[in-house]
Amino acid sequence: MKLIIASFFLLTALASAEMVFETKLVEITAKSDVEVVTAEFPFKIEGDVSEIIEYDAPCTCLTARIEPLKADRATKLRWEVGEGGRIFGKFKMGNFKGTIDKAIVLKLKGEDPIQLVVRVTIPVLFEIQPSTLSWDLGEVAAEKVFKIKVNHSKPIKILENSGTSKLFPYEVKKIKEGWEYEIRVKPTSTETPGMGMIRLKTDCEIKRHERHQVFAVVKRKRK
Amino acid sequence: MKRLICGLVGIFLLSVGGAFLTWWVTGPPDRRVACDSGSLEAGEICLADVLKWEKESILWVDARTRALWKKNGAEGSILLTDDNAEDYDELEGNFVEAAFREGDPYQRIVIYCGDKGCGSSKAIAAAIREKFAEMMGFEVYVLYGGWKALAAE
Repeated sequence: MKLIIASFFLLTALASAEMVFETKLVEITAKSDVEVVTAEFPFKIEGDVSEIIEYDAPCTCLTARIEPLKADRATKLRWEVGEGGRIFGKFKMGNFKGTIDKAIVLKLKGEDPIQLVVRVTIPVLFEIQPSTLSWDLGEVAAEKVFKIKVNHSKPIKILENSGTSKLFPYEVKKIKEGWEYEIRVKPTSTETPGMGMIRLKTDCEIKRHERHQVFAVVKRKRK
Repeated sequence: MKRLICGLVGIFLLSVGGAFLTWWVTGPPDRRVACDSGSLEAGEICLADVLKWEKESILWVDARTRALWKKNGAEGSILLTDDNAEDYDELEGNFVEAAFREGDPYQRIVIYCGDKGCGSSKAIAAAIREKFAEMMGFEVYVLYGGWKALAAE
């Protein structure tokens, strides 16, 4: 009977364990040429032992690591009261541009899951406004313009361009070579719906800023 | 000791019996994702609200990995994920073509992730809103609870 009572109290204590983080949100502004950034989430254990059942990031772009490791270099999952450590989130930027939130989810025994958010801002070096040009069906087939601005320390030149639809002939106009461009689009007709894409290849040395695409559509007006 | 074991077995049998009785009377557990539309973040939507809309007005976008989309993606959904293994530009082109629907763009785009902890759907929704929503004339939403909410329905 004593064993049962002792087990009951042990389970109750486990349920009140708490992993306390200094912050659950880390914001990082990445340099344009950086491929990987790492966010750090220090924590300490209060209440009683804390046991990590699972730690995961639901995106292949983010991997989680818990430190310090055990003596045998394995990941330490059971943490005693008073102990502290760090969870690292390694974020591979791939195709990302702009501001993105990615989370690491920790599942703990007897506790609610904890979500640690890495907010990464990746500068947009080759800014195109807007991303889509649109004409309503039957609208005057007037010329519309994509405006491109380079927000980099050195110029980015357009090397190649290609369109996917004859409905949207276009002209790439250099305003200031390497810094400012315009793409002028004038549909041949707005009598039938259609969609086209214009692809651009630049000389930007950073791969994720090398290629860009914009769209042009003739669509039915919504009732 | 014998009494203790008998007592424990009795409690166990009573618990199992009670569980079966509950299942029989009230049915299986409700696995739906609880969603209160009043406490959602901007741009999020509850599945119950999505289901009130006309099916033809919605394009489902799966922000999970290609493998998961192929395995159990929503019917008629299109893949648009920020997974580094994918060519985002190509997926974006496919999305625009699907959303355009031969000149009659969908009215609503609803994006779902694996569950509410995944940030991909929000990142994709922000990108779609910024790049296409105004010109294509559609509204963009993130499904609260993600695929888990869809699967439970």
